[in-house]
Amino acid sequence: MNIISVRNLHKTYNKGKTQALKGVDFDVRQGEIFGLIGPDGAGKTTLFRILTTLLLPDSGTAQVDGYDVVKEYKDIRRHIGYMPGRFSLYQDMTVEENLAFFATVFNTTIQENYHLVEDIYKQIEPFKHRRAGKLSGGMKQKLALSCALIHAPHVLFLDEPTTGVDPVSRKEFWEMLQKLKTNFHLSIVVSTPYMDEAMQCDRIALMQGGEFLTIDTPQGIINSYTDTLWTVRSDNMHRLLTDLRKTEGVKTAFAFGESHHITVDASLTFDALRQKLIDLGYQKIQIEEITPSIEDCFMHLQN
Amino acid sequence: MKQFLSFVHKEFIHIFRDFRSLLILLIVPQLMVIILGYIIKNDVEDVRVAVIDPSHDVYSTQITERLSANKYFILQDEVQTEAEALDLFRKGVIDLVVVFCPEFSNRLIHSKDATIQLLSDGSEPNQANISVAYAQQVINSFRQELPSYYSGMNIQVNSQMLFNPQQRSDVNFVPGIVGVIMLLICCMMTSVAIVRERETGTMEILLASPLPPLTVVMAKLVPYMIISLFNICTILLLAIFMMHIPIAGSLWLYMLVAFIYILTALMMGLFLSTCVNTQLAAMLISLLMLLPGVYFSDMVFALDSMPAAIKSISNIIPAKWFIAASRKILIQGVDILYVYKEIIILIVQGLAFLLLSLKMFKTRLE
Repeated sequence: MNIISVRNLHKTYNKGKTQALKGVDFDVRQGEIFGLIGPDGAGKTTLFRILTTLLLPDSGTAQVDGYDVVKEYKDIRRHIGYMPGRFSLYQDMTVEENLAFFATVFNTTIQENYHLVEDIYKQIEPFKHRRAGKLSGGMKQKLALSCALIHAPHVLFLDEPTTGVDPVSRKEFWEMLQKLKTNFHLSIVVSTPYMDEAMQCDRIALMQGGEFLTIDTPQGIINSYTDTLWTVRSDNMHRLLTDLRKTEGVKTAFAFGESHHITVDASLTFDALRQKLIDLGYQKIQIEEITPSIEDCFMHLQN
Repeated sequence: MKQFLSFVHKEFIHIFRDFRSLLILLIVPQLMVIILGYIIKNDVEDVRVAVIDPSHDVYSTQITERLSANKYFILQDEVQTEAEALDLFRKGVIDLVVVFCPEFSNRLIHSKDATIQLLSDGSEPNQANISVAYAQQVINSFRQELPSYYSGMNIQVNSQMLFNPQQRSDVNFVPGIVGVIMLLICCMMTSVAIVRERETGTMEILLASPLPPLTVVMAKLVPYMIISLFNICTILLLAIFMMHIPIAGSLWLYMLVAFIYILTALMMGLFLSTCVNTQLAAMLISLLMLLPGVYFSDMVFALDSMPAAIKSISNIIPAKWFIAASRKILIQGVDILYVYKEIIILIVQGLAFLLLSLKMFKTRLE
């Protein structure tokens, strides 16, 4: 059973000059965590805003919880929880006041749905008299999530919830989402620019320039990666990238943090590449074969 | 309803936790009234008086002596002609000229048509008004003390303001200041408050909630309406008890007109908030609306002396109608029959802004 189904969705800005969505198709199943993975400007926020009835699509259809986003937007607004990319709570109100306010906005009370937010809210409850603006980034996210959950929505939309949050809080945040899925069978659509978070989702869509590059489980995407992938390091990383790209047998080469990831065809061997790099004057050369990450898949699909 | 009230409560939290808005809403209006009231009611002392007395007879001398004995007046040298007095006005040496008619005592007793003319400096209308009033008091008290067998004897006092014949009452400023302050609170603060939700992104959550967007903005208007009513009451209290401004008409009628004006100004603010996207823009446009409010509302500059084109532009400014109506009520003491036109215009303007806002109102982000 699909909680969201999107068909051929188009959206342009500036009277058609900027294409934000170029025909997006996907379904989200009941009770899964669906991830939209892509860099800034991929169209993630636009897609969220159409699904949360905040924007009208130019063409195509979208249904959320069985309702049409254009015609039945009022029904959708009763049953969704939305956490925008920017922290959007009242900074001059306390933690408790924010939660109570959003509860009344959705015609409910904190007590009624406390079981839903209990796990999350417990962590910030010691600070319930503190103003939201004075909370740390991680605590703000927990409060925002509590506020988006307090009315027991059927589907939760989280637009880049972990952007600007420290690694520990990010990990905690994903654990909370997993719990919500397991305990309450909640459907969650979440976007992130961090490829490493993709593995936390049940299914993901890799997004780029207003289009979906692929939709699959994270493992499925990795499995469909057929190239041989090596990681290469040396003493002069900057020059190395240029030289790798010139090397025969190397198909692609990208900088990946502390190492370079290259795909090679069958003609090139470890030893041949090592010898070539030594000839070029490199030292401390390390070459290893690795299994691809989502980011490798993204880079691959992008080309 | 519970949603609505909880929203109103939230708005009050925003107001009371922000020192600056609290200052603008609850302190500045009263302060403005006190400051302006002080400037205007500033006790006029040391009024420099010149006397033109062609006859120098017994009564004119007595009046001159009384003037010079009064603590508010300082008698300057006597002048002979009005031209000479005008010259002294221009030099700023005198503030008031008392002109006795020729053969003052004679005409007082026999032909009973003695006149005294008071010339004041209209470039400072409030001060001029007060000094004329003082001089009239002195002359009146003299008249009352005349022996009874002179009954029927009359001194006609004509006062005339030079340089600015438009006479302005010292109570004019209360209607004016209320008109402008309400514009500030209802139009500026309201539109800023609505736009702030959009700017900080909270509107995004509210729009994605079942709360009808119109409820959101209406709930935001309520606190400002309450605060405006509170301000009108305190300003009236200040005017009556601190500045002793006489109120001629019905306070209830005034409150009714003020309430209608507040609603109109709130609708203006609502309309403005649908047109702009940033708090800064809302503030700047409100200020742009505030300035014509000051210029064209007869508060500082007399509309009568403006070109016809500008006069007709001034008709679209709600503040003008409110100020006109409140002057009639507070100063002239008229009843509702004389201000119904202003009331109807304010209601029509308010409805027009409401309809425009509803037309412009977005239930989505764009």
